[in-house]
Amino acid sequence: MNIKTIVIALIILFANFSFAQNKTYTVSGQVTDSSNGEDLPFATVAVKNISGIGTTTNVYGFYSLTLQEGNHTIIYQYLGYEPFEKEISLTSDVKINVELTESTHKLQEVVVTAKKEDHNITKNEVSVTKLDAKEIKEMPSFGGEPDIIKAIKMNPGVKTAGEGNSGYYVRGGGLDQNLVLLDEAPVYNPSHLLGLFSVFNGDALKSATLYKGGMMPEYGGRASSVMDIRMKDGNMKEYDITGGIGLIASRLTVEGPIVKDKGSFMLSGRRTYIDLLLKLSSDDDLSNTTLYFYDVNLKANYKITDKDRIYLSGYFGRDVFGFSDDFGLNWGNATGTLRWNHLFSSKLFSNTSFIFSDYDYEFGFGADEDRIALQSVIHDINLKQDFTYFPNSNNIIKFGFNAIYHTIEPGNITAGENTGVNSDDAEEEYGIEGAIYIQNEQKINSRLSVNYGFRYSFFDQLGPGTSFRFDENGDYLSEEYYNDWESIQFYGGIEPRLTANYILDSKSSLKLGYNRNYQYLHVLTNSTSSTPTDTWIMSSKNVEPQLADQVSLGYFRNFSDNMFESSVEVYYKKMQNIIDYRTGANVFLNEQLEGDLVYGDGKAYGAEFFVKKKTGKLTGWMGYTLSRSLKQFDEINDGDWFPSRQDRIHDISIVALYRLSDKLTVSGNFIYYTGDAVTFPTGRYEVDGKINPYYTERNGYRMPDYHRLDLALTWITKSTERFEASWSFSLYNVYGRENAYSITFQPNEDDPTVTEAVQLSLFRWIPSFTYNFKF
Amino acid sequence: MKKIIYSTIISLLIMSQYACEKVIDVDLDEADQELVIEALLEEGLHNFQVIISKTAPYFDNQPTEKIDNATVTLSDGGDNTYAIPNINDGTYEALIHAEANKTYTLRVELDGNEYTAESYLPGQVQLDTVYAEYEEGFGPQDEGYVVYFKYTDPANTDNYYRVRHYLNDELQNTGEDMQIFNDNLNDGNTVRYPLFLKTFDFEDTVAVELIHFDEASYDYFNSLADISGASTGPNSGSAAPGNPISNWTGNILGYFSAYSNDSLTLIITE
Repeated sequence: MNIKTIVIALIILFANFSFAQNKTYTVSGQVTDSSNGEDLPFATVAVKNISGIGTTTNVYGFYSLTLQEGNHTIIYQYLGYEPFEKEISLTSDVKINVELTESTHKLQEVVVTAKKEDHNITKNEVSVTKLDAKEIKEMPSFGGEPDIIKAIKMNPGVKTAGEGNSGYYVRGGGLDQNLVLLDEAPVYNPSHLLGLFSVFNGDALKSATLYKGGMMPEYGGRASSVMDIRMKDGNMKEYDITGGIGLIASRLTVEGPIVKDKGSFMLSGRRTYIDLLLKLSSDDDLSNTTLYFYDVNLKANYKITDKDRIYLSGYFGRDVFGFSDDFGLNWGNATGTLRWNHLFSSKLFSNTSFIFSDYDYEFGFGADEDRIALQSVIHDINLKQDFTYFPNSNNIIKFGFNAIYHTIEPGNITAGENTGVNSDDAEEEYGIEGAIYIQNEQKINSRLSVNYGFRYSFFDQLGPGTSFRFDENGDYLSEEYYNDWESIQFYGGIEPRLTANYILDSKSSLKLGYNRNYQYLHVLTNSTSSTPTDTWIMSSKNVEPQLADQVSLGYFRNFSDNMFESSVEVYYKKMQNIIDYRTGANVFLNEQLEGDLVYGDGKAYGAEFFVKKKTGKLTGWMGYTLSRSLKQFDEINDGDWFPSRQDRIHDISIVALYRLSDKLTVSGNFIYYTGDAVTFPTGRYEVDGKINPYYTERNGYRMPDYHRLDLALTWITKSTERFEASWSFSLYNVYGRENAYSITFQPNEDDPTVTEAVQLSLFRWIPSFTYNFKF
Repeated sequence: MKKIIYSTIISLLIMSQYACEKVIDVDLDEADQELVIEALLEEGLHNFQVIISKTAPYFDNQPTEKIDNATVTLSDGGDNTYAIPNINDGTYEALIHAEANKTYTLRVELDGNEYTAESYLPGQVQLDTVYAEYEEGFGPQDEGYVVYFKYTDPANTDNYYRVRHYLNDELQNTGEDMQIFNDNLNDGNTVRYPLFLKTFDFEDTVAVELIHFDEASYDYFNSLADISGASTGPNSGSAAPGNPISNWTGNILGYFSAYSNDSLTLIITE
């Protein structure tokens, strides 16, 4: 299909809109939380007695619903909130802002509401995981820090990159194939403390949505997934202070109205103090160690007029790690988003965003004249325009564009006089990534809804810069220099997207999703987890964009009046131009690094089973994934397909919360997965006076299976209108399983003629406690 | 660099008692035996040795099988070809006068197959000085004397190095002792490096040997260092370990490396 056919097809479909028979009017407005004025995204807006008519609010809590003239009862619903009904007599366009009240979670009142909370059946979304920041507060956490990324990794199809690691694999895709957005700004490295914590402070967030498949055309840029994280807007009604004091870190959040019901702000900060404890240590090695991180989230919004609202949000975080003057490593992200929501009419919603994102790391050895340091930066400036058009109750059309200007500084070296190293900046790289998209979410009839559209994305690598050519062995052939703004290499392509939802009956539905994604930025890493020193590279003459096509099919069913949600999804994902290294590649400051890369194909397929219990004393979910992920490179493993590292065949995760009383909640996590596919030596030989490993096949072995249980207890010590206090206690790895972090094959230290395998395990029984308060 | 960062982190975790190490049993397949040929040609008049052996199962803690029936010849790119006779135990040896700026070719015939490797012998790069400084420990490095060496890199050519050291006349030769580098970042400069992550005691005798060799040798030893004591974990030094990049034809293991060197010895006093 070329672009023209698609456009014509869309025009024909959209042309249906003009044939509405009777007079129609539009109801639009905002759905917010009554206690603090926070927008409620994805809240359901339905019309009583007319099945199949309704909509959901967008990420800013805005909805628009066009109905026929006459009397209607509109029902507003949001999970965990009391539903609200509004009777209207529709004779002209009206604006209705609704505030929903949170259902009190007092035990005696946990009753299933008469209204159906069957969002997961009716919503035309496949392979999407949504988590409310509130949901994770009572889950067991590592070091007492609730972590939204870790909670999302407890869902089927999402696999952690390893113990204490913020990286994750989605449906067999690579670590670099996930886009993480914080208020629309990409976060290039979402890890603190080398991945023990994510950069997202639970107190500052509203929600996280992970798109594993069936991605809408508004999203793009990575081959496997998009994680869309939104910060809290800040309390519109009154001032709030929340905080927590823990073993490892403390956090404090202040929020409140700028002008009541017109504007609000939120400021949240967090800092660890392990380093302060280390200072007390009598061990010099420990007391000379610096090790901390901090982060700050800020958000403010203001309704300038009824039709205009401005948001400003920002994140800044930093990790600092070092030993006296000898060694230092620090890294951090900074993002900023300036947004303008504008209503052109009750049917046309617009959002314009200007986004900035920066990630940099620096490490160095020695001090003063002896110092040698390396700094690397990636930063983006992004303009994004999105429109949502609500022509009638059966269609929602979204369209827009964005353009990102990427700059990568691969390595700037600063060296003191004594080092003998030249201070030098590696050549910077520039590129423009752009996209236009259009999609329509259409209700064909009361059972079938389809969301279809496409995204056209492109990437232009720009000068100034040098482009290298290599032969098939990766050896240098020639180079060519390009001037400022000269196009070095252009790539572009259509990304068709489709999701369909067919409601079988009030309890079940079938869903289908297809998406194609191009990826123009790639991460190269020496190791298999995300680390601060990962190298980002752009698509270029040598590096073609990665491309993924994915089909998913799901069956969704609810039980016991929607008390249980369940689903089975199967998927098949084909990946092209995925990147790996030649053996012995030199990643570090190598301007001809592209010559050390090889390109191949990947495929991943699997089935995901999921059950969630939403109400009652016991809540939680269970997921099981059966999947494979394979790769093929002409240069590796004789060109045969081999398992990706993340080819974990079985993966189980269970999250359970049990409310003992109003004040006490216990919770537990359990995870189990098949060990990673890894390369072990099959033989040994003597060279260079020592015994060396001999490798015969890539990823032909397995790490031992991983499993772990965590428990937590939340104890609310005080809960009044004005003050709330609670303790949370967590125990990580309850039964002290020695999970293999790494296995090293090496000669025995005492007798180098004997070879042995040594397993390193981290984190057995890590207890933590945190005191949380709110007033 | 990366290795240092990781070993630092891991050692910190171990110190903090969050981590523990233990020897485990791993069931490994047995691969077909592969041929290994190792040959080092030092500049000047020296006994040139070629060692031919085979791979063994990984946990087979026996000396590996040696091959004594090969025919080995060395040529210097000119008219000279030398036969290198077998002396026993897989070793082939002859007295050779190797000269700088020549490309040597080593040829091995075995059971009807021929394997060749070429190596260029670059001229000597001299060590300017070797000295020690007392330093506090950090992470993986203990408190003690750190030995530094300085040399001047020849300008406008790509140069590749390895440094080895002897402690009280004993070659230090574990995976961690492998220090392989090039002049990408310091072409033509006077360069100073420490013996990485090593500390020494008062009155230790430390001999530092700076080896200068060609790119193929660098590729071999650099990729060998990557897998020496390689771990297979999420944060291992090498994400996907593979066999070192050999300069032998015929897909076998080992290397042929011609090199020049310079040594300085230091006795650590104050």
